[in-house]
Amino acid sequence: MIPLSEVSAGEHRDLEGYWLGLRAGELRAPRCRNCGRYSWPPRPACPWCKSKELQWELLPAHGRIFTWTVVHHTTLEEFKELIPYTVALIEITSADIRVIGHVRADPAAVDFGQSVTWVVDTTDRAVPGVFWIPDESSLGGA
Amino acid sequence: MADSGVAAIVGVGQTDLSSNSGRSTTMLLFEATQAAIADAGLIASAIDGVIPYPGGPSAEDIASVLRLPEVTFTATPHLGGASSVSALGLAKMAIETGEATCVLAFVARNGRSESPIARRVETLPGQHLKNALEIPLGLSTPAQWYALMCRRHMFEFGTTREALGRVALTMRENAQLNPEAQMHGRRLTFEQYASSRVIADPYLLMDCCLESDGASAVIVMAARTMDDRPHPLALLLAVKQGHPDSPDDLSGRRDLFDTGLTRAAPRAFAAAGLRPGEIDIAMIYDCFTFEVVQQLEEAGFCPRGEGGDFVLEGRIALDGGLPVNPHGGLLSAGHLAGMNHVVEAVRQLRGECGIRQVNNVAHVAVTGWGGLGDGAMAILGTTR
Repeated sequence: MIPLSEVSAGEHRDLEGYWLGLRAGELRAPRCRNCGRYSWPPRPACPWCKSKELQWELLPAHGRIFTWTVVHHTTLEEFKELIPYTVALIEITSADIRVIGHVRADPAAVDFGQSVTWVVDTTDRAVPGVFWIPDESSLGGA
Repeated sequence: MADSGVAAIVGVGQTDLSSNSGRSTTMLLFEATQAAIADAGLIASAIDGVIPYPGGPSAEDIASVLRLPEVTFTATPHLGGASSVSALGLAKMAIETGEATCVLAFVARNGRSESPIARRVETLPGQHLKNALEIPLGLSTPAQWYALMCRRHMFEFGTTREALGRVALTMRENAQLNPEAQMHGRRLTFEQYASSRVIADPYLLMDCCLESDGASAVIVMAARTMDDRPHPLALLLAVKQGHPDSPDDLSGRRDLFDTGLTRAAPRAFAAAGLRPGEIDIAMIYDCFTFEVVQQLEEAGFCPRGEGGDFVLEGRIALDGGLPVNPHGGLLSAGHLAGMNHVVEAVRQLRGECGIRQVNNVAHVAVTGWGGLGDGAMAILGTTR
């Protein structure tokens, strides 16, 4: 996780609510006060109605795997010991957004439409600080 | 056809492609530019426009070593790997509006020995989002980004490992006919392809393009000023760019396959007055095998979802209906960000390609693919 001093600096200012959410143990996304829509990734204003009135809201616990890759080669030092690991695009239907998610699961068990739940690890050195785990008996249509 | 007002590529030059050039990128650029100048039958001082590729030697670097006296136009497109094709659009615009009379566009880099892809992508748009939302989750390379798209395409349309392998093998076969290709003399079987190590599943090592040191340079002028040149001219009939929704980020894109090329290609075909079926060679930005399948679809050479079958039917082979990348592509010839595709397009139009020459080439389409899906297409014709 980036240091608190950087959360409100530079381009991170538009993602401040994301970082503060993770520190509080929550996965949050910007939702427009004007039109009510969620958006992802975070932008300085609502891409749908252009309002700057965004508030950061707790996301639902579950999402579904839209697509994924199993990484066998990484240049990121802190991830080398996790190889092979899964990174997915995860659909959060009730918020109508997709997010990139690290999936902590046996790569052979990951599938399209699979239901997953986010977990935030607030430990300072956690890699990654947020990840998703498969729900039991969760296979569904994509 | 010969429209004397249109811009044309009048000279091309390229260095050797290698994994360690042993030269500075400015030296590579100097060599490729000198070759392009000689190819065009010009003198260096004629150049008054310079379009560098992002992240390499600058317009100032080449203007200094060549002592260019009258540079009136410089610009750099920022479309990742689509920047080479987009550069042709800037050159065409500069020529046809009179802002410049002789434009040099180039890529020069030590892409293997000094500036590998993991570092190059840090200059792409949306880096602050990647720093915050992707890299901390372990996602950091183009192979990983596009593997996400590839797997979804396999799910939605039944695209197969065999189709990806056929792309890799076709590029490798073409490279056997190109002595300048880095994989010349190194054949590839499907078994070797399929057993290459996993990089970002479904991408194997052999689904990924090469990393190369080298430089490509092209010179663009108005066709009417070049009537007495030795080579047939490569007319820039149309060059168009396009950008997907949420162009700097995959998660915000509703339709993963609606990319920049989806929008650029119809614009280019309309501007050129041509249909996809009238293209004789497609130079496809083959950063990964699946990106060939996808771009064949989005460029309009086949319907979406049928790119895998198009490839498996042998249509992209040198003797197929739409030869793709006769030089061997980024996958097997070398990776100069697609400016080497432009060089090959011009050589094919001129009929200079020896044993890999495609017969009766009148129109060549060149695609560019960059960042997370920015796209560009150039359609080239000839005065031959």
